[in-house]
Amino acid sequence: MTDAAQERSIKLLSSDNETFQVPRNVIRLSNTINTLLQDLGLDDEEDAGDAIPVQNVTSTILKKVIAWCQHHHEDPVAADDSDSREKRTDDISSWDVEFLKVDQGTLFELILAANYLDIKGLLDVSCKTVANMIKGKSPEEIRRTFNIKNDFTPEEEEQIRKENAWCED
Amino acid sequence: MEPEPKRLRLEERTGWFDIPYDCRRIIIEKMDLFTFCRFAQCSEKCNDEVKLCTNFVKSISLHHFGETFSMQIEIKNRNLYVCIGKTNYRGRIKLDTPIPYISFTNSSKRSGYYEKPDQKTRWTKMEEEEESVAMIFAKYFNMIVKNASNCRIKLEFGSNDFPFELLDIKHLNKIKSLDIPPRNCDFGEGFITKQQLFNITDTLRIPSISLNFNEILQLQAENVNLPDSRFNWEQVKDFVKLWKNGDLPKRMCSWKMGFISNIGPNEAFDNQKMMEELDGFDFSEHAMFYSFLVKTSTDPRVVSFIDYSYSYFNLFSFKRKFYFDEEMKRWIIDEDLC
Repeated sequence: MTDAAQERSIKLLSSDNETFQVPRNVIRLSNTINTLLQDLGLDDEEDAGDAIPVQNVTSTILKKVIAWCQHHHEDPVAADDSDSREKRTDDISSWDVEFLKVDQGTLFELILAANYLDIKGLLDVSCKTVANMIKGKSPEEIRRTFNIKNDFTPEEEEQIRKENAWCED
Repeated sequence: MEPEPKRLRLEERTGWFDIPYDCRRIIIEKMDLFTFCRFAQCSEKCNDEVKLCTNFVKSISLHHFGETFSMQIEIKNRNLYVCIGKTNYRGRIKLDTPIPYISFTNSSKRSGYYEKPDQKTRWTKMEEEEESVAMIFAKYFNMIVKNASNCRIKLEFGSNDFPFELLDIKHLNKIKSLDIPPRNCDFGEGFITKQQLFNITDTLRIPSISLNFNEILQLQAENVNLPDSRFNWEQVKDFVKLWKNGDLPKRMCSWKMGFISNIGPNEAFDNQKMMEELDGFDFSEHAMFYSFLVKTSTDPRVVSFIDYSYSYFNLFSFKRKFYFDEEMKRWIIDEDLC
């Protein structure tokens, strides 16, 4: 991508038909948009033309996604996740912590949007936030938090409780 | 007037299974092991999901530290250490990432979350159970292996009470390989016998056994009669013959060092008897062999025997060149002598 292309903006159209003008170098964090522009040969075009429809993302969520990209677009590219690396959930930046202080529905919508737009950093940090919502909770609390129906029979529940007794406090 | 709050609609459908599978999988992968296990207890569907979206157990390593056993279980991106014995666990692991662990000793059980070396550690005492250490160890091993798939298992053992007989072999059929470094193997009383070991590998039809173990099999093919339980003097002689003829890979020396050092774990190490049996073997020509043994040995009895053999052939001057390196925890021979 040329410098000129970096400075350009592109238009994104949310599912509820709101248009957002986003600097190219901000939305580069979305692999989906990047690929789309490249595949259509629009990457170096002066005018990328019509707004790109982002059908799975509402304007409310798209606004937040763009805000996240605005804040992080100059971050160094993160190294690939290696399977051998220990996963951590305590390394979320304070900005991201504040950013993700939203209701559960919005958080899930953000995860969906990050997944659809293939924004690895946002997907990572939003999933970690959900993981942290589960951390330290009992199975019953987790069920309540996420509307999970307990479908174990009492015998199965007792069995699995025994098998996992080592991780109980 | 504001449009109908979207939040209400979202809350109506908010729930774990409303999130696409891919997202759920990623969230699960972010969990630490304790959370992961708690989550698996929520519902049958979650439990299946946990198993489906990970390979679950990736590797299990059993280690033996003096009187302490430890079992390291790597579950995809997670590690769990199970430690059994008297030795303080914290001194054993030098890692700067959070590691959940469970630790057992003969008198108490503890579990917790290992934060960082020399930083706060959350201990949670668990009720003492009327079970032997071996039983506890085997119980957790079996529990984890039962759920394992495509797993690699590494075993290190060398102590009398390693609870192999308690391990549930039928659950090992998903294990893709078994690494058994023979260097520390002792097939004496109370240990897994070689026959047991063969039974396991034969039953599992393990395609990739550790190289050293293959070498044991190779020795069998060469009509070196490997006993079911422990090696005897005949095997020592067989080994020396093979070695003298240059038929023995050098790597085998370390294995043989193991059996020399472990001959008769419950009986005195009889240097004189060894020398009589090895009569005719020219030790002076084979300093390299002994050098190799010493360098790979952590057992002073090996060095004791080597000292003895050199003195037997008036090569006593070598003796002073052996020293025990405290840092490396092994006996060292002066390289120049070889």
